[in-house]
Amino acid sequence: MKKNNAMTLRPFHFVTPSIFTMTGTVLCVLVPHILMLFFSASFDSLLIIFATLLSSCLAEAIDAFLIRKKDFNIPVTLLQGVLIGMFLPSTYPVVTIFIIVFVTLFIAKYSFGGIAGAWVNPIAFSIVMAYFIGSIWFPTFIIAPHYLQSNNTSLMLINDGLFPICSFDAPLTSFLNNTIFSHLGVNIPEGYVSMMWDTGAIIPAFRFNFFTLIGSLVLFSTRCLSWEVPLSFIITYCFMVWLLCPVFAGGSLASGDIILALFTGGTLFAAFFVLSWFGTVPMTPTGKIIFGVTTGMASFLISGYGLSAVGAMFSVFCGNIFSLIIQMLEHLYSEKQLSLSTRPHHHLEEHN
Amino acid sequence: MKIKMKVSDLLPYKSKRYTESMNSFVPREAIIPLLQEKDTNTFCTVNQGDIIKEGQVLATSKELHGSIIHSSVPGYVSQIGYISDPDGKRVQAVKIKLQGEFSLYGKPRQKIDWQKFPQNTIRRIICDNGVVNTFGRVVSLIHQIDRLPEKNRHTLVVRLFDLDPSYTTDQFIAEQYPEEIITGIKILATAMNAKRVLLIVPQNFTPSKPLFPSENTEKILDGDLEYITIETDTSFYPVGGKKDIMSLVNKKNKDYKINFKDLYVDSSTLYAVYEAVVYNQPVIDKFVHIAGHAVYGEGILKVRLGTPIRSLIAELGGFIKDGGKIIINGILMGHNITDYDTPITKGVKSVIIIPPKDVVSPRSLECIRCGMCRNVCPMGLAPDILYGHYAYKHEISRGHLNTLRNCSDCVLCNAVCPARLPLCQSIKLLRGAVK
Repeated sequence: MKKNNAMTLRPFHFVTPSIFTMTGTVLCVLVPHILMLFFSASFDSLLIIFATLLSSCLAEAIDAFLIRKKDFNIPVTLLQGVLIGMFLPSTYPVVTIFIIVFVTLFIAKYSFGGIAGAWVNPIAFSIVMAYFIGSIWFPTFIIAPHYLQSNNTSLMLINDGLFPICSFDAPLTSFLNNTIFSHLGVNIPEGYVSMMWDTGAIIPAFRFNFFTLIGSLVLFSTRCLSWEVPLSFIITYCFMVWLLCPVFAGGSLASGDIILALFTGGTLFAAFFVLSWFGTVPMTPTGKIIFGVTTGMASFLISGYGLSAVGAMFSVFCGNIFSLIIQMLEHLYSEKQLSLSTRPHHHLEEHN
Repeated sequence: MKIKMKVSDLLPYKSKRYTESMNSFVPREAIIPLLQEKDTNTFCTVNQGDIIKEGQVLATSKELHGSIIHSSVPGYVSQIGYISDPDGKRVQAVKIKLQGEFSLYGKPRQKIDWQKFPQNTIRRIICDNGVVNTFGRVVSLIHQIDRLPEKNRHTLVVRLFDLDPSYTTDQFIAEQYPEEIITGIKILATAMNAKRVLLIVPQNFTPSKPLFPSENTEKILDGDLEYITIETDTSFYPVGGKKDIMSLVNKKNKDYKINFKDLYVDSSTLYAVYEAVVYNQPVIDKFVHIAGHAVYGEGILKVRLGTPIRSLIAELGGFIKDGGKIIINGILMGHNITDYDTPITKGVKSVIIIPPKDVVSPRSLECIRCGMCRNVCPMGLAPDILYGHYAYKHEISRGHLNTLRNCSDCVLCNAVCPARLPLCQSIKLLRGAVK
């Protein structure tokens, strides 16, 4: 009773969830991913996630207790560790990744400090560093150009056995076609359900798109994530893929396969869980939309259909650079506004 | 791109509106703080053991038009000591044990023809009856009138809704006592020699009787006094602060402007003016909205000043959940106190008791540069930059410092901050430091 009745500052109700709630909610929506890794016996991936989690905690502990003498921020540290681990291939050596992530995060924390001190996304930065040091452990998705010329690349890839098909795919597809899609006059082919459920990639973030989408709905509905950045990013990226992707492989204009682009390469995962990382996005709604659009364009140029192991992270990295420019422009605009109206309410003090 | 904040997004629950109130029980022991206004000093005029009449002066100021505190109950002074008041401060208070006969409560009242009184007499009556202005900070009404520059006739700005959307006391008074409010306005307009009266009414305003007899209420002339009614959309926040009203009025009209030098009052103040001048009754009771999910019942009570909050909760059926926080004067603009024995004073309009599950953690983290505070600030401030300057001595431009005076204290910046930073409070402190 006493604790609850302690004196606090106003207001006594907040519109947005706190950082603790936000990070806690994101961690909660990642739990199904972890469970799925466990049930699909992907113990190597779990080990990698555990290693990155430990290195993230160690970097934060040293920074918090020895250098800055501040509170240990547990939820953000855990989330950072889990997200880094989710973007690493299960083939990556555990000890190596532990050291790389620890050094990268420690340098980032020491140089910039705090949760939102760094202009660069610490998750993307760690993955990019891991890629430069051990690119041989990252998978290479090289597919023949004739796949890319098609307007239904994903179906061709499914038919050619490049994606694993789940046992429940056929009955579930049939059920969905009969109950939902028949009313819309469309049918989905077999294989899409499996692609949504588990792509079978060795990078966990690329796998469970269904849980990523459900997680994003939870984050939007609980206001843990604002829509501007992820939605503008996804819309731009999808539009670019649909419009231009086949053209680069000698195909026709406006026939790109959006589903393939979204469900491979961790596009959705990066958009919902990584792109809006604290301190790396512009401040105004307009700036956030521009950031999403430019990052979406960069993502298309870097990873095309999304069949890239680190394309999403390089896109985030590029987005961070755009963000700096956008933030600079925001600052200039705000200073200009201030100089135009040093006292916006000067007229209020005029006597009638 | 500014984000306009909807009240429905800001509050954990919808604030109810009421059409009737009830008188609270008279407290067995009234605890009356001797300091109930800002920027004033009073001295106690009674001693322990003294027999007190209802409405008797307990404390007064040395200044001519200073603060005056009256006893809300008859009885004897059982103790003079220090208590914590609804502002959370330790102040001297008189405890009066209920005893003897009421001289005002329940007695037939005689209306006074106040229109015969000259301006100075009306002012004297308002002062002697201890009327305060509760529009913003609680200050002596007559002191405010005295400070109006004499060379011009001023505008009387009347807000008929509540500053904080989490309670509905002022709107209740305006809707249920329209005649009293209009009379209060006339009295006050006479006392300050007002040029015009601006009535700021909410869109959903439904008075029990029309405020004016004529149908076209937008602009009414009464002698040389002009009444203008302006509607505002109270589904958004903030709309009831001085600066919000100034923006609204000055944007809509080109014929006249209002400024800080005009007099701003609310329904509670006007009702007190009416009681003081028409019935010569000192401020000994007031309407208080009691609400919150931790209390069984809720509603508007007419409370004797000095009644402990504990008694009001008991009267409304007691606690249904553990009381988490006692919030005085609104979830957004109010403050919290810790003592259930804190008495109701002239400045209290609402008491909200929220259960522990609704209590939010006040733990602050570092700024994550989300920009939400800038996007919601109705006055165009950058609260994060000002906070950085105040808390960490970050360099900022003169332009940002100049915006400090524009802060309307609406706490929207705090309400949207995921890091729970005390932005509004820092701006207030910084404003004081820059002055």
